[in-house]
Amino acid sequence: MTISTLGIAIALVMLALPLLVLYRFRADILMPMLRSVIRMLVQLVLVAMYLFFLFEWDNIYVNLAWMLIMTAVAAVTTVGRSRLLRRKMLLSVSTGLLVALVVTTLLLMVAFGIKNPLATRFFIPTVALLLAGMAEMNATALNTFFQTAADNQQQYYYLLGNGASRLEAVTPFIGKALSSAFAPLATRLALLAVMTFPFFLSGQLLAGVDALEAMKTLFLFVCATFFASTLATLTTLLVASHNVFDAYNHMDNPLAN
Amino acid sequence: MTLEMKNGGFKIGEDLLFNRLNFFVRQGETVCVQSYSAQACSSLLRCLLGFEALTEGFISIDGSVLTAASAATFRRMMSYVPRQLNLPYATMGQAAEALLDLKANANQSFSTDQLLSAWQLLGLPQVLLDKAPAELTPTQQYRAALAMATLLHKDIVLADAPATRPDSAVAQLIDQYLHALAKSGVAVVAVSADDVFAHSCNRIVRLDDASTGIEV
Repeated sequence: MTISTLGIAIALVMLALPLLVLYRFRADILMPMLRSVIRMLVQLVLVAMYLFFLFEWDNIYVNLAWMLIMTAVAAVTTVGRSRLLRRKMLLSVSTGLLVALVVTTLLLMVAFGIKNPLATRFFIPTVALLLAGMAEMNATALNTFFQTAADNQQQYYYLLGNGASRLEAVTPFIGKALSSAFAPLATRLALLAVMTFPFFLSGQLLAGVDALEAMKTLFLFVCATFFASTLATLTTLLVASHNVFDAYNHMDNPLAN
Repeated sequence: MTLEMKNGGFKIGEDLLFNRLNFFVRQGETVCVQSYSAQACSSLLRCLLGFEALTEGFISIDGSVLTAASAATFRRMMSYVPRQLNLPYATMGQAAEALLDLKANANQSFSTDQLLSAWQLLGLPQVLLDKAPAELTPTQQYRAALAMATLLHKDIVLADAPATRPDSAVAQLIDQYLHALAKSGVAVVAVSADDVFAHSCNRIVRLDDASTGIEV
């Protein structure tokens, strides 16, 4: 399937209609919408350009470099969204995301039966999907963990004082963090066919993938995102505990004020 | 088993909370560190628990010095009664289970009956078992924490002073409970501003106006 210049022109006409309607009815949201549309177009052009070259080169080292850059970008986004101090948490979050990405990609490679997992056609979309799925859940989990820890210092020291290891003392906070991170996923899983269908499955079906294979791919990626998010969060917390807790088990809370 | 503090000093910023504090406690004894400063009392216990480093002196158990590295091991020999127990558990029963679930307490267990018997000694009604910690008064929380901590059968009990001064009847129940505990072979270190309680202990170490520890 190839989209011609005429096709792009039709898309721009379809984009113009809602903007004209907003203009006609003097809707306040017109300027913010216009700015968002321009930003979207610029981003799409830039992404299209770098994806074009990534697929053109199909080079392992370039793909790995791209993965590292995207992981760093995702880590910065995660730290920002979870309102954590960047200098304290960036390394921990990056490590968590990278470990989860590598492990999950390898597992998906086996699941898909792909012999060359670093081939651009498999590697780039997989990494992009996983990072997008992980970043939001990781951000929620980290914010909840550190906020809960800050609010429940009494519980923390009470458990430590009665023999808990540090891991046992923070286990209640980890539980709360995972619950808050996975709550939206629980809703999404229940509505998988309704909410995800228009985007993920349609894209595959339009590209000519068999319907059954498309469903299996969707299922695999949902499971992979779940797995990767959990692994990323736990790895981040494990790495962070070395930076955030001192030898006396005091937590230097990395939440930004 | 002997817990000892030698020339212990601690300050937060420029505030000297205690200074030249010397005491020891053996199994079967009670020591009261008496101070009118709640911060000094709590800080002392935090140092004994290994949550803070003394700015001077050292703490040892049977000659082994308490350090950041050894604190976790020492804490397995201790149970801790905080000033209050406002914890985010749904019931006091769950709060008790949380302690028993810890690996350090894996060899300990107490039945609900044993817990309720201990509560009875401390004047706590059974109905509180199904209540959330936040529904208890501060003095009830303290007594509940005291019972739960002591049923872990540790060698050392570190008891902070209750956040709210109990009435004389309840204070007497707490005193009797702690002394019975010591008689059973536990080393008890309690911090308190209360003269009556202090005088019932084997030894009193009083922090004077200069925060220096003086054994009386």
